[in-house]
Amino acid sequence: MKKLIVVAMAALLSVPVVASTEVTALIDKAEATRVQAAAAGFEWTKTAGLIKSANKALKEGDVALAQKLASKALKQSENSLLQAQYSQQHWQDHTPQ
Amino acid sequence: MRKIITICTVLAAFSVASASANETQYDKLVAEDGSKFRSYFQNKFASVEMTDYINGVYAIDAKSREQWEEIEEFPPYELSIDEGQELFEKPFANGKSYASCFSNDGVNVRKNYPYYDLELSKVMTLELAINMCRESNGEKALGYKKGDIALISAYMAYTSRDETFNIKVPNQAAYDAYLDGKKFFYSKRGQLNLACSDCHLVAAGQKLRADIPSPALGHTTGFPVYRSKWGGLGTLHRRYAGCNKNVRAQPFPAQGEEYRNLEFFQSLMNQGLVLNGPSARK
Repeated sequence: MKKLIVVAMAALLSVPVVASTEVTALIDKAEATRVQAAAAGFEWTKTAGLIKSANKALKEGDVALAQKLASKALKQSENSLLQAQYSQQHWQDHTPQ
Repeated sequence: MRKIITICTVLAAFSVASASANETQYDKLVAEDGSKFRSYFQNKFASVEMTDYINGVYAIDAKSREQWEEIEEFPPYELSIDEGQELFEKPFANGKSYASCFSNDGVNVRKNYPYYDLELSKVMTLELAINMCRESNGEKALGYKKGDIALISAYMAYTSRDETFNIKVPNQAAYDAYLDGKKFFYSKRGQLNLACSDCHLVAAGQKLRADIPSPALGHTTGFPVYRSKWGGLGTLHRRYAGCNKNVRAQPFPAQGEEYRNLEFFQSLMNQGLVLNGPSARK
């Protein structure tokens, strides 16, 4: 029994625990990047919703879900900005010659 | 007699020079783009007559065309034209009407839109002009995507049926607006990473699930449209927003600068094509 308790505690301690403050920072970063993408004219439709859901999950105490959603939102925002840069440089590649 | 001949020769030469002078260097640049645009589709759809591009996907897909021709026997937009005329002719609270805001009393003016307004330094679309008319006469602006704006636009479009676009690019600022619209058309956007040109140039005529994208040539001639999917009439900017959402790109406001410039570009690519609004689409 003692062995079982020790093993269980070791397993729990080996899982990294994300602090809610880290997730808050992640959500803030996602939002700031989303705003940049919007200013560039290339915001995607799902990004704002993901950030809203991440905030909701965090408020309800589901830090893991909030982190997952915020990460997704940040990825989308970053890709939107890459898309804006690509379009700026390459839109003329697709015009009829 | 010699004097008369000399005067006539001078006048004739002047009128030729004036006609050329009326066409700016920007008109010529846009005309070159238009020529390449049309050639692209002529090569892609060799059997389609240039005049038929105003009918969108029905110019390139026989099965869709058959259904559309049946619909056109009792056009779903017919009542909208009458309703639009009623709204157009109804006086504002101050006694004036839409006719006071447009040349030729607003009849047969659709062919002149969109145009680059030199005073306001922006592209002026018909729907924007309708709302500017309302506001200058103390009325509230209408929503830009459906409802009364679409009805009034439908009536005004109908009075320009069978006319051709008459749009100029008078200066650098107008050309910049054209280029902005052109850039929008060819830029990939949204989570699906698609440009307008991906569907309506490259994939025009191909199957996208159950749908066939229409060729971009002729795109704006038939608006506003009665769309079966909408179950009613809608404006061009409503369609733009829908298309952007389809590729998961955040749409822009109807009648904002982005969509007005896009409409300007698309309309300039349609120079020489006949106007056929309002029309029916799926």
